[in-house]
Amino acid sequence: MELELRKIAIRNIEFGTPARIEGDTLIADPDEMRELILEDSRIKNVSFDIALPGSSTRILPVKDVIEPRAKPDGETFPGTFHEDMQEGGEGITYCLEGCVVTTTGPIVGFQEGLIDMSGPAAEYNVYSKLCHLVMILEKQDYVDPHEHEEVVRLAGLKLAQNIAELGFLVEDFKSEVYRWGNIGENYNAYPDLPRVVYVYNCMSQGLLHDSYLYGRDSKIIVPTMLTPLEIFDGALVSGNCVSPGSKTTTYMHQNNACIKELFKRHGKDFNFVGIVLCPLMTTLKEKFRNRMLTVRQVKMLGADGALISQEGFGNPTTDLMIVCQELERNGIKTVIITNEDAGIDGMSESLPDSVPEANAIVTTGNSNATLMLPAMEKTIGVLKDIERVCGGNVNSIQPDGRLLVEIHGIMGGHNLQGNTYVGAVTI
Amino acid sequence: MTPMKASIISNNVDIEDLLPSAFSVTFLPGAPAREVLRAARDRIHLGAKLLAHPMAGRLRPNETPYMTVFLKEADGVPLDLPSLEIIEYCLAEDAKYANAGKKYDEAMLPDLRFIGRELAESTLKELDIR
Repeated sequence: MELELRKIAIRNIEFGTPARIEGDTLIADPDEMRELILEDSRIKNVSFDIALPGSSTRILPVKDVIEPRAKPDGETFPGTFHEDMQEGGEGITYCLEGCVVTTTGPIVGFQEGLIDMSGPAAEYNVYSKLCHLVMILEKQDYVDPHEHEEVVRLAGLKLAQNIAELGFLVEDFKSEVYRWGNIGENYNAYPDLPRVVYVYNCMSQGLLHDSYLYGRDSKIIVPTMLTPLEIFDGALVSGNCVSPGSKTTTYMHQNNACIKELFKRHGKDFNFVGIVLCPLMTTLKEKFRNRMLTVRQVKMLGADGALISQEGFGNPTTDLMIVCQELERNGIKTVIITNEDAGIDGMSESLPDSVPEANAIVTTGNSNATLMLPAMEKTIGVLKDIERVCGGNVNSIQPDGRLLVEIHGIMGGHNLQGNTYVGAVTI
Repeated sequence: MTPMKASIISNNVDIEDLLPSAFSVTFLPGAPAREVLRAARDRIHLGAKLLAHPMAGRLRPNETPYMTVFLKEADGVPLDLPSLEIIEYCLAEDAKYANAGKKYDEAMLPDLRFIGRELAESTLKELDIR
């Protein structure tokens, strides 16, 4: 299996016609995009906006962030739009690096977080450094919340795929080639190095708490082996999951920081031999079944070590801990990544579950810590929704227009694959 | 097969019509989440086991006032330590926010109950108790 990612650097977005890429500028045609999105009759209206890094702009509430990717001879986000899906991870994929499609608009009250394009919140996440093509969707009245979530998810993926196709004509790209063998080839690739498996936890609980694998709701799958290459091709997408700081947006799946780091050190420090996707569910029976099946697959891959990332906090922390415990009991040295909820003052016990075997933890920070954010000149979306987002409350908006929010209200503020600007580093 | 004797403790009245007859239900409308957790802890001390993680659907603690706990009733059996451990963790997590004074937007409460209901429905499907 071989995948070539052709990365086209985008540093600016403008509206214009015809849609094209000129140098590092994406020129998007609003009429054309509108026509494309309104193909779905469940959408009453759609509008577009642009947010660029460094500008005094706030996007709120953000549903999903998606990197535009497209394949000349197939589809990205396989399984999403067509029955005759292709396996992801093969061939060529064009990526508009540096720009994203960002969806906004309310689904139910439990709203999403914010992205500030400048100011203190912009120091936390990767999203603030990207050019956003923002899509504001309004559904037809008859569409219920389940369908609304689907409408928003599909519209975002469709637009991301569509604008990435503009990249097919661009000859100035950076090529990254990834190869992936079968289990035996991977196992034997570096006999002197420890074999490492990545356990990829994904939210799988219900409305606005789901992920989709090849279009299938991850609540109704059991732990499954995946290749990193199909992840790059969008085989796994976000179901507009809530919890902005610790959610895995589709962008974070496409650019999974754990997978990138594992590839970087593959063949040097260890032998990266596989991924096991583990759905994070609600019942204890499912947790124990998923633990058993995940650990067995990690063992079958011949792992000496494992890395586990998570999504969300609280209920998912139990999955994180029990899988870690069982891997360690099987002699597989395990590192986990989690954020902490240590209270606003940082004085409380920071994890809602723990096991003694979790003796190697990478933290992405205390998500309860608060930040005072300056007013922005422009808000795309609804500022008052800060009162409804995770990390905000009815007292968030200050009389002078500033916002008081907890870090977990910032999209990707403590991303749980470590794709964030805040962390402990060795110097 | 003897049907499972199960119970639910919840402060979310919107889940009422979802519940199969196999469940006995304790509603604590208006009670804070910690009261739901404490009532569940009492049941666990009497032999009940947790069927689902109490924090499921609260992605972040303190983001919704609603809490639903699913228990398997088994009076007279030894105390289930894993269940007790989880419920105590949940209480400790909740206690962190006891003085945070989070105010929920009244207009949002129906939506939060709706999400709570959706997640309870997912859990019931997984439990396969109809």
